[in-house]
Amino acid sequence: MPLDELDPLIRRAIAREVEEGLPTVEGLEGRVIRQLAQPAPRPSWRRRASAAIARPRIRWGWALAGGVAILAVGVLIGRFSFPGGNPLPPAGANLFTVAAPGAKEVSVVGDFSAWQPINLFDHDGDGVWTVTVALPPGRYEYAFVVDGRWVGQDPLAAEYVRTFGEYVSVRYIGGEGL
Amino acid sequence: MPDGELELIQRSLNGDLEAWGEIVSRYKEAAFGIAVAILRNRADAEDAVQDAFVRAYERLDRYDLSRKFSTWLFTVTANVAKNALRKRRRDPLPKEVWAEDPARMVWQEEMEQSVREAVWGLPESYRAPLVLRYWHDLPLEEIGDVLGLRLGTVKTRLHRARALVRAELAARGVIRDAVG
Amino acid sequence: MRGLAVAVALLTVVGTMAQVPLAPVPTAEEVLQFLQGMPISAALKAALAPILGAGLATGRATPAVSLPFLRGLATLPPLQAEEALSVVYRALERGFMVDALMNDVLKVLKMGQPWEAVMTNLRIRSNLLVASQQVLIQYGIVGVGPQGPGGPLLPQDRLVVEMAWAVGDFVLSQPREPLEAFVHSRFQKLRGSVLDPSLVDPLLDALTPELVEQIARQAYGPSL
Repeated sequence: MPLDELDPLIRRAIAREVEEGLPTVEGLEGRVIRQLAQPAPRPSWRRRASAAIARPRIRWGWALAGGVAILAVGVLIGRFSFPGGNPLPPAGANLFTVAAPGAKEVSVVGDFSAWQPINLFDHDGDGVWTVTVALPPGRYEYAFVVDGRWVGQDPLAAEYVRTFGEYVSVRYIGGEGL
Repeated sequence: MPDGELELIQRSLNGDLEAWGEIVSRYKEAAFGIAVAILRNRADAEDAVQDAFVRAYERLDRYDLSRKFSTWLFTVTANVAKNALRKRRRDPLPKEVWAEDPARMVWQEEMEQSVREAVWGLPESYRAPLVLRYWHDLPLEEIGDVLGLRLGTVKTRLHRARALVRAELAARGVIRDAVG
Repeated sequence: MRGLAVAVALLTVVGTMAQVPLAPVPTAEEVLQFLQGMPISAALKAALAPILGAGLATGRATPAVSLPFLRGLATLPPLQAEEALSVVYRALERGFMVDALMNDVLKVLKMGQPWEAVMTNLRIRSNLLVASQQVLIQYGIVGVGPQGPGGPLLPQDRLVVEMAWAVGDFVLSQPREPLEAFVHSRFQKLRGSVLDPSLVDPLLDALTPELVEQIARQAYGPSL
């Protein structure tokens, strides 16, 4: 194929790619002006943010003590908040349960707890661990952690989302009438 | 100089941010085209463009009025983008984190798809002149100014870039390439 | 006030069951105070504080997610914290709801993934927000763009988040069904629980393969 015939194809390939990206710069004027208008010195973190990063050592030390479970309705859910001051729907209890005989420590982590562990309990020692979490209507991702091991697939879940080779479980908690 | 641009520049030099905002508005898309040509990634390009306009404002007093303003602005953008590219190369992103590109599933035309991949898969030193030529429609001398290349180099790179695209298409079997 | 009333209601429900103590809900002030104490650059704090404050005030970010998010970042090297904060900052600046972004960072960290994975995920989720909003506006499913961090929070802002997440989850999960079917099914499930039917139904009516494919194209682009 002569190069001349290729030119319109190249032109179109470039145009499509660039033009599809143009919405990215919407509102750029405002962002530039805001950045220039700040009295503080120009943020260097923008440049630092693209610097090479070493592999992190994650410390789990902030895990909530004492098995804290329930956070107030409506303010905790990762993707659920009402604008303004609408009255919130009544809370619903939700049982999280996993069979883990012989386990020492079982918790549930999810976007209802900002992925902080909520301890489950096995009071009668039969290997079935449970906790009840009051959740308003919504869609929640979660997983169990059994003696430090990620258990992403809960048989009671409505669906699973695979993320980086692991699963998270999902529940939908219905609104009124659903 | 385009309509009112000199006035906008002078107002910007006096600290009128709204005037600078108007300039950003006029040139942001072209600047984005340059940044994405170099960085290939939209989020990085957007960061680079924002940085470039901030830097250009801070260095406005160094702009030589005898030069074409857009060339000067694009040069600043290209330099910011190239810096970002250099820094990015030091921490390569994982390859297979997002395994499947959904965009591939949807493009019907194999040729268009292949050309797109071939063009955007070019090394940055070939890709950038190509975008400046085929999207910005800049004259060759200006491409040289923006990217810091001699005119002869620009011509060579453009020719080579197109040849590379053609070779890639032939390798994929999308076209027959008797020349090779 | 609202939080207190509901917390009391919850106490009654929960107290009879799991017997775990309740954590107090953080306030927006606590979140902003914590930000000030973080070991990150002063310039970033100065830039982020008003934006985050506006976001918390309008519900684009909630304290119950924001505080754990900042706490989590505070345990990481400052460069990483700043890197993640810069993406959330950008999204919030544009008026997106960011709880889901912050939660996703915590989720990927909790899974024990390396930092590159956390950031790649965060950037792509952020790109998906932008792409979803653009395309939904283009197709007339939502009206004006987001109102900045301090503008009124609109129901459509939630729609944008859910669309972004649906497309992203499709790519991650790689299910057998096509993208449009996956997204349709997701919104069916959200209908009535997270999203009001009056909000979802126009979207379901207008949902086409082209629409969602365009979101995917715009979000994933030529990167990586």
